[in-house]
Amino acid sequence: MLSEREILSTYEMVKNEHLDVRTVTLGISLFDCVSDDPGRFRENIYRKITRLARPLVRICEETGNKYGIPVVNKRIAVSPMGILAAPFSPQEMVKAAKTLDQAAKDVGIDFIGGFSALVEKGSAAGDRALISSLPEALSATERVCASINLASSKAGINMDAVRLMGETIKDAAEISSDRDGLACAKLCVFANIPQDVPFMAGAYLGVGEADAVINMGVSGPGVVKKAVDRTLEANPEADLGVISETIKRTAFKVTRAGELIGREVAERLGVKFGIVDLSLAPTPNVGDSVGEIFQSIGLESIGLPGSTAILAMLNDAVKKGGAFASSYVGGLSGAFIPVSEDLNIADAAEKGYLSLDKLEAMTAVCSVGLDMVPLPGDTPAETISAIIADEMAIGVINKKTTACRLIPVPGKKAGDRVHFGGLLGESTIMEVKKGNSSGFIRRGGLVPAPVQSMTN
Amino acid sequence: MPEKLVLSVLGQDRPGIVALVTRILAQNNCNIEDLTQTILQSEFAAIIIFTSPEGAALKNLENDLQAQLSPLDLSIKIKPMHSRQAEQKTNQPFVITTLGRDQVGQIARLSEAIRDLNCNITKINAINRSELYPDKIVMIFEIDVPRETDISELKKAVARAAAEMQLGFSVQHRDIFENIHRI
Repeated sequence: MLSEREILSTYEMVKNEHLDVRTVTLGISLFDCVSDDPGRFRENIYRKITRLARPLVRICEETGNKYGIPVVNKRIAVSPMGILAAPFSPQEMVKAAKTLDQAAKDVGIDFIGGFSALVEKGSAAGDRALISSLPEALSATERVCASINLASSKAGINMDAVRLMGETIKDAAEISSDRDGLACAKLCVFANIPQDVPFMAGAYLGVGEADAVINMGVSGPGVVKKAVDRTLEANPEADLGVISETIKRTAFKVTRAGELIGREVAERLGVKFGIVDLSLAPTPNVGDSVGEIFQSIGLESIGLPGSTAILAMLNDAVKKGGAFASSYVGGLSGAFIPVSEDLNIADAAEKGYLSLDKLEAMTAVCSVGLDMVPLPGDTPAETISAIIADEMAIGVINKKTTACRLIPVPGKKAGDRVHFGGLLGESTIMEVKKGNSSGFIRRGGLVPAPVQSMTN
Repeated sequence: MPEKLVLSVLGQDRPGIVALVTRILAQNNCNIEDLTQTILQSEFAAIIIFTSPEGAALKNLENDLQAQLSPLDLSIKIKPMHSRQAEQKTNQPFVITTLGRDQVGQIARLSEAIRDLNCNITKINAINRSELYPDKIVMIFEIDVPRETDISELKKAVARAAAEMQLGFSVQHRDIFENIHRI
């Protein structure tokens, strides 16, 4: 028998706390589409994607409807294009991106990820062609997302690729300058990229994955915040152990909801169920913010001293709840701190509570990294590479995923406003320290993989 | 086969009602198969399904119950049970929750909408002054929805009824609650 409390707390989570399934991402392996003829290759990938993904949107909507939990986004992640299209030129890569875009449009999904390259130790011809096609591919398409893995704890940091990506990000911003550098919002660089992330822009289907697989992204910063608020209302003196327990329990519930829906969607699509990724992924709406959780716990604003400690606790409690709820937790699983996508974090940046330096420190304990950070348009490519190098180092040494999604907004300076629209939100451009990092970046090479013992 | 009978007991709650009723049944060699009992505000209600030995005089049992329960202001009714042929269980369990200001005709309007789609209410609960919503009335309908019923039609019908009465509502498959809250 169901209890009144179980029913009402679920009602509350859905109606007033923004509980939703953030994304159902269908991973599709495209290795069997490979051809030495670029036209044939494009035809093959279009056919396979549309064949498998045609019922995705309808099934997600019906399943969401059945359980009363909306599935906000339906997405696709494919095998890394840098490998699939390895013999092709950058121009052919752009055409392949357009095919992905068209396939995504035709099955009614908003983003398709996997325009990706894995270059943590070195790059092959296909990877280089893909990277040099990025500015055009991302500005000529609407729905294609790109990710480049630049480093790993087992391989080290490919500094040549880090340097190249600094330049590529600048070029991508420039080519989409009429939209405030929007192409960069669809481009993410990683250390230790997971093979099964369902969230964009980093989603791609790893080479060790099945032919087709459903990975779920569940969110719920609003649910966590309300749970913390309720705990503190009932017991204003609750300590951090109690708050951590509340977050853990809430993460359990949210993950369970995601797994139930994911398994049903996978079964109805006739594909394998992969993982649930519970990531507190904010949207630019009041009540759906990670920053607000910091305020509930007692910090005037995210970015102030204490932020890294709170984030560490939050990220860990979310992982613990998720791991207990499902045996197949994957992806990033933790808390995101994207600047423009979170009203409260964007506000902290505008008021000066949150600096780029503090944000970087926080990424050492969050689940991703410097996400949706708008930078002054005149930031040199080498400085962007240096910011990326720092972020990669944090991931490599800590054996965790880190990433950068940086947008050097053309023609704008620190303190100016930038508006990306929709889920990508808006923010004030953050200040970057003046000074020159180019000597370091120009050195290039591979930063060796770190020693795995002597962990102090 | 012994006959199956249904007994209902209704009246003001007090300690000892179940003890008394079940003792009388035992003294008459009746075997209880199923029993449910609840208290609503101050009122006691129970439904008991039992078998009595073949040839037993039902009248004696009824007289015993009347004699001992009437002084306590408890009313009883006994009737033979006509169980329908076991239907194949192809229904899906759903939960409808509504929330809003208390008003006359609310349950009638919602349950008519449920009936019109051939759904059967298996449990219904109205909660006033709940912990979460102290100033509102919460209605929880647990229903069986036939496989052939379109869930979005059910949602639309409930939405129409809820909109007329300015109620918040949700329609969800029962599994979501068990998955979210239970290990």
